[in-house]
Amino acid sequence: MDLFETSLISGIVSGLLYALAGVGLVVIYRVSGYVSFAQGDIAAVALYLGFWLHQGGAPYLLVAASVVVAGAVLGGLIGRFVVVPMERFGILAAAMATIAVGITIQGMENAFIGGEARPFPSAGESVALTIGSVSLTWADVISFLVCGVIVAALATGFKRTRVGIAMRAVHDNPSAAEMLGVASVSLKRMSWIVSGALAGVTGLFIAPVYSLTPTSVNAIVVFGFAAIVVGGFDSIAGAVVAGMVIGVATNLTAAYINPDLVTTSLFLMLVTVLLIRPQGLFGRRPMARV
Amino acid sequence: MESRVLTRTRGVFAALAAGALLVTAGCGSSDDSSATGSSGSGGEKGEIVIGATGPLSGPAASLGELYKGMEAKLDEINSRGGIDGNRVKLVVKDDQLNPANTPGVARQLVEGDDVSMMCGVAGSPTTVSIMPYLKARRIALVAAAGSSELTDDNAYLPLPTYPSLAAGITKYAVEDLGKRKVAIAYSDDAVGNPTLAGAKWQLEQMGLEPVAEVKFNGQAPDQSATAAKLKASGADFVVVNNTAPIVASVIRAAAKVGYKPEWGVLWPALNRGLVDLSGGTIDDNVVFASPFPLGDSDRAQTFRDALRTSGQDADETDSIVMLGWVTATACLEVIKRAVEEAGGNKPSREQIVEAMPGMTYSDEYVSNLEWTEENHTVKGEALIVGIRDGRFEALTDFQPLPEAPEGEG
Amino acid sequence: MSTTRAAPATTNGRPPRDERVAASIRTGRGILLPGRILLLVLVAIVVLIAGMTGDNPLKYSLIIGTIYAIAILGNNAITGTLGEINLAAGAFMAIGAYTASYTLSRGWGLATVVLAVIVVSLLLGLLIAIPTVRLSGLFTALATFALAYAVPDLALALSSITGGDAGTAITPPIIGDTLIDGSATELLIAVVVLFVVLAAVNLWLFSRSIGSRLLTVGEAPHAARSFGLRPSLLKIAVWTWAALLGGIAGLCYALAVGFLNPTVFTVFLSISLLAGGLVGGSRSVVGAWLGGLLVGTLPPNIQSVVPASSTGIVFGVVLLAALLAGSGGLGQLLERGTIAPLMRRKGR
Repeated sequence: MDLFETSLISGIVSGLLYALAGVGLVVIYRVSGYVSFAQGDIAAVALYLGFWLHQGGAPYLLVAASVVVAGAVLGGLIGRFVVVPMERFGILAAAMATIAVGITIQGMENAFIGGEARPFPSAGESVALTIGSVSLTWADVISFLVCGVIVAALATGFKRTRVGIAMRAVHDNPSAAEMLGVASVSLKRMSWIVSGALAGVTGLFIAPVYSLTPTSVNAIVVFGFAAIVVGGFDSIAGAVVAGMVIGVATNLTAAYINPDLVTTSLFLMLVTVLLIRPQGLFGRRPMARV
Repeated sequence: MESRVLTRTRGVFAALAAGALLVTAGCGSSDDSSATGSSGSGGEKGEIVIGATGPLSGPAASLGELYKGMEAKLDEINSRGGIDGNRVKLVVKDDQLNPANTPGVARQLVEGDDVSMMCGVAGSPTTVSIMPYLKARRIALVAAAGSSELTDDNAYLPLPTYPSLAAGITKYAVEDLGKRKVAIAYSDDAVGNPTLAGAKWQLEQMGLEPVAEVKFNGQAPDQSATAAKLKASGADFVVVNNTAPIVASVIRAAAKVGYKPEWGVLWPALNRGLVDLSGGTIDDNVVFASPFPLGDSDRAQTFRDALRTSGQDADETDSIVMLGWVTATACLEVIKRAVEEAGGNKPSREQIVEAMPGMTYSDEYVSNLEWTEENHTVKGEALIVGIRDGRFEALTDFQPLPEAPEGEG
Repeated sequence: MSTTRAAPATTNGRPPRDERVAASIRTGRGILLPGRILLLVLVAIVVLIAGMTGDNPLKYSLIIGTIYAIAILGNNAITGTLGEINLAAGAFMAIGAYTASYTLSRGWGLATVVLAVIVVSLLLGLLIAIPTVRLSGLFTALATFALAYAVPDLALALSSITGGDAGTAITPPIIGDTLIDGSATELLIAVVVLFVVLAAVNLWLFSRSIGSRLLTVGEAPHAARSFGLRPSLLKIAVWTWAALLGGIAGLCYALAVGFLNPTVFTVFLSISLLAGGLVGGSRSVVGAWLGGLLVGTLPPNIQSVVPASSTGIVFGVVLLAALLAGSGGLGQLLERGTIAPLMRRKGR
């Protein structure tokens, strides 16, 4: 029973991280119709900057803020100069370009920084509260709060603000949006900045737990992909629920079936949802695009 | 709005890609010509090249730290005039610790860079993937790893293997710490399985059985199921062997469910990073079995000096760096014997292979290396290390390890 | 898009020769077929001469590159005709490689091993294809990415077949007196012949009516349906073809490397194969070969020129450059430069 309870509660906590990783992907998808495979690599670069600041004695809040800003800047640059221009060859080419960017970034990190695991400071490692047999740290609690705020902000942002509505318009009907005077290219660039910042936020919660290497954030982003597909690309709250479902399901797989089948269960969940309910568990519109 | 993957052509960029292809082809042919140069044939004084394949990029790149230890050792020897006037140079090629790449880069080293021996090849599957090739070509191999499967006719290991180290830490737990309920957390691979076998064998010798054998997958992001299973077993001592980040994630997950046994960890995770990576969940509850002296101990003064002189930016407490140092030490001893055989000149590959059996060596870093025709590993000694106030501290002197059977049992 | 351009009709009702050559270069079908076969044979001769006169590392990397090319040839059918991204080409190779190692270790003869690889690749390929063709675009990419990501762990979980992390040493089959492994010239000849044959089959099939049907399904699915084509059947056929070629490549790979381990089949292998296809040009068989040689020979060889740790940068930049070059890639460049002018001149 302890095993079940632990798998359940830790699964929810990890699932939140998966969702957070996924939410950053949604923003670009919403505007441009593809996902960025470089999300984890953008986060990694920003985190290395934060790591050095921390080494230099900067307080945690400054470190955290710098990571988010650095993520936004880097995301913005990559979107502006590499990926958005690549869209003229089609969105699959743009998606491939994010893979190429990711490989290049990893190559640079390996060449200039080295691949050894580095400890990244956490938002708070002391125990904040205990649920059942699982004790949650302050970092867990803060990630819950931050995730909640981001999800609420993005959800209302997409629904209510001018920019959000414009973003949806660009995705749903680019040519009509263009005619109405929506500057789609600048919206796309903006989506890269926002998603870069979200990559930074995600990294802040991933790196302390899984250490900082050129690939450690990437490993979680795969779970983020699954979270948004299962949850439905157009439902940000859905991604959060789906992240938790995935967290619990993969934990139960490791606990009761075979720890080596965790990634396989992830694949099966993803394909099952895509086949049975392509718009995701919580998505409303069928996805005709792409 | 159907979009084809790519529909247009940009000749300039295609030309760029074509250029890259030509560069590749060029490299291939340039290696052709260099292969005909002076070689492992030896005969006169010269530069002795030793080759290694290992992860300089990719997810396992932290293992590449070992080459900093190797370079430091080589610099130390070369600054004193090399081996009898022959300088020794290390060439490392990147295989990302992926056995798909290793055979290719190993052929480059052997036939392109013309190495005299392979020294410091990293990883088990990667090393296994080139052993038949090296054997067929009669190239000496000293892998920088702890799995006993990495030995054959001309392949030797410079340190004790995982089974005996796992047995050693288990013995210490039962005899010195008075633990009776020992569990083993293992990954289903060349690191985890020998560790499981060694710990189980040792428990059996003492009339005990493990209270749990918990398999985990180091790549899975959430180790809470592993932690819960260990907790349910009621074990008060857990043997685990993996890299520092993965061991840290298991210990962290255990702390999260309020489970704090004593952990018995083998040397691959012994570095300062582990304590930091564990986020404060590791203090005095971990003991390590290490065949190396501590990098910050008095005994390792020459190691630290050499790292500094050689300008290596490495963590001196990282056992991986020390692994490189020890591996290079063993290889240099082999070369020394071969140079003697060659009358002070650069030895041939064959002379290096023949210098391996019968070699005995000990210094501050290498204990009891006695290679024979039968024994290609080190039946060595190990230190039990603990953590006091965030620093590593030897809890015992070097002690002989139990002679656990090799292989995965 | 740019592929549709009204061609002025000539007296015999066919578009002028220049137009047909240009269209042939774009689609990979049509008038250039003899030239393409010629080019294929030329590249084969170059590869064979280089492999037989060069040293062992070169021979080995040509073998590996040609094996990758076989997998890329299959994968290109997906990229080039259906316009989908398949990030699981490595999974197809894993199926073939492990089938080969499992049957070889049980002492099967080479002929039965080949048969087993073909059958298993077709069956598992079909199993993967049936659900996958219901997806499209980004979702195909994500689902296959998740599959590729799962393969190494799955190989661990199936360790009774795959040998787990300790891996499986391949017992090299002996033909005559020759051990067939990565240093054998016989293996180089075998994979080159295999590639040429498969590429010729590919060209022939593509030049038949099935080729135009596939292009219709890929480029205008709605139109295809109104022409009475059954897109999903054709798509399943394409994916299964890719799985078959991937499986064959896996078999050759197992023989060449002599050792299999789950970490061989990481997602990076699949990315490399996809990238090789794009660099070479997804509608050109010679392009597939060049792409395979590039991803097979670049990483080990480039390390003599740039620091070993920075090969990732080179790889990423080459991939970006290839994307900017468009679907034509190296193959189209080669066709434009060699056979196209020949055909044009012949027409005048």
